[in-house]
Amino acid sequence: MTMDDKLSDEQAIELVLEGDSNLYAQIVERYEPKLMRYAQFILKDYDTASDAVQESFIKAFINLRNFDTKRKFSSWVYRILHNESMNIIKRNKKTISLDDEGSGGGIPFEDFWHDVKIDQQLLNSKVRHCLDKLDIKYREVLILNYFENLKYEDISDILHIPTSTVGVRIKRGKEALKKICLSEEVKYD
Amino acid sequence: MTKKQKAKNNQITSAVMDKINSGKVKMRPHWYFGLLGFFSILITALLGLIAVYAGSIITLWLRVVSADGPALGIKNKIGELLLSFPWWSILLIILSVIILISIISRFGHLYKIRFIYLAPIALVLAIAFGYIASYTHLPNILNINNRTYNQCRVSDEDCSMGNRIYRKMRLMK
Repeated sequence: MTMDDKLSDEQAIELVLEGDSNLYAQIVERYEPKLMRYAQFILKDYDTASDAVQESFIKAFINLRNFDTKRKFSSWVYRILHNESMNIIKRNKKTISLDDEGSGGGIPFEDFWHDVKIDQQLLNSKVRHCLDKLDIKYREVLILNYFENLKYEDISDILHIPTSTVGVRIKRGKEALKKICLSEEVKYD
Repeated sequence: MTKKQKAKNNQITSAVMDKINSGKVKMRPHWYFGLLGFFSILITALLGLIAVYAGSIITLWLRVVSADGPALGIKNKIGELLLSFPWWSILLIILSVIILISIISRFGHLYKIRFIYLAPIALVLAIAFGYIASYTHLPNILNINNRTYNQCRVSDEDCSMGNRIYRKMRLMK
């Protein structure tokens, strides 16, 4: 572990702001896997997600002086990616269907799960298939809560919605997911 | 993580750092965000003023129609009153409040409060401040030539928009 690895995100950002631009590479490396996972769930395409993540890191760097180091960098960078993803979705008006198995050379699904504890049912790839059919506003909160293990407060900061709304969307999202799974004949208890 | 994924991730890091190190991507200066903040405050103040102004028009209308005695004939003229009601001012308030909330939510932490609670509060505040403003002659304050209602009652020339509306309401009545 290098000296830089011990720094918190916010400390590292302060150093970047003081002129150590190369330290930004470490921030990028820290967040790349998480952001890629999130972007892929939203955009459903590896290459599009990759472009969105790259653009988000660049936008984050450009606006770094606007970042309040007393706040969480993770929420801030997730917010940038969320906006970027929403712009892409609006631009394309459609996302690449996951029914297309080979879409964008996606990462094998199992790669996402080994480091996160989530509901056993969601580990089932068939449930993920149902998740992809879920409305984006519900899909997003479920991903952030279950796959990224983020707290309601953090999700609220990322999506710019009240904390109570996060809870409501998770509840409704689960119900909607259950319905989709039942209609797809996927076992969901 | 697959080899392909690792390679792609390294590509992202190197692509981002290449752009930064080559100077193609630069941090925006402090003054840029200062200016942005200043304009946000300016727009917020302006929209707030518009909302209050529109609110004052409504209360002004209420004051005009309920003036001069015990409002005899108001019941008979309810249709006329509804027609003369400045509905546009309500639309103006709603529009200003929505834009105001979206601006503040973008830059502040107003998004923590649900819009369904926030919008009526903002609307009530706009009308309440408008009510106060109608008693402090806000429309006259906005008169650039500083003419009062009485000074410009003869002609529309050089009257502020507020005075002109007030005058028309008086004539209608």
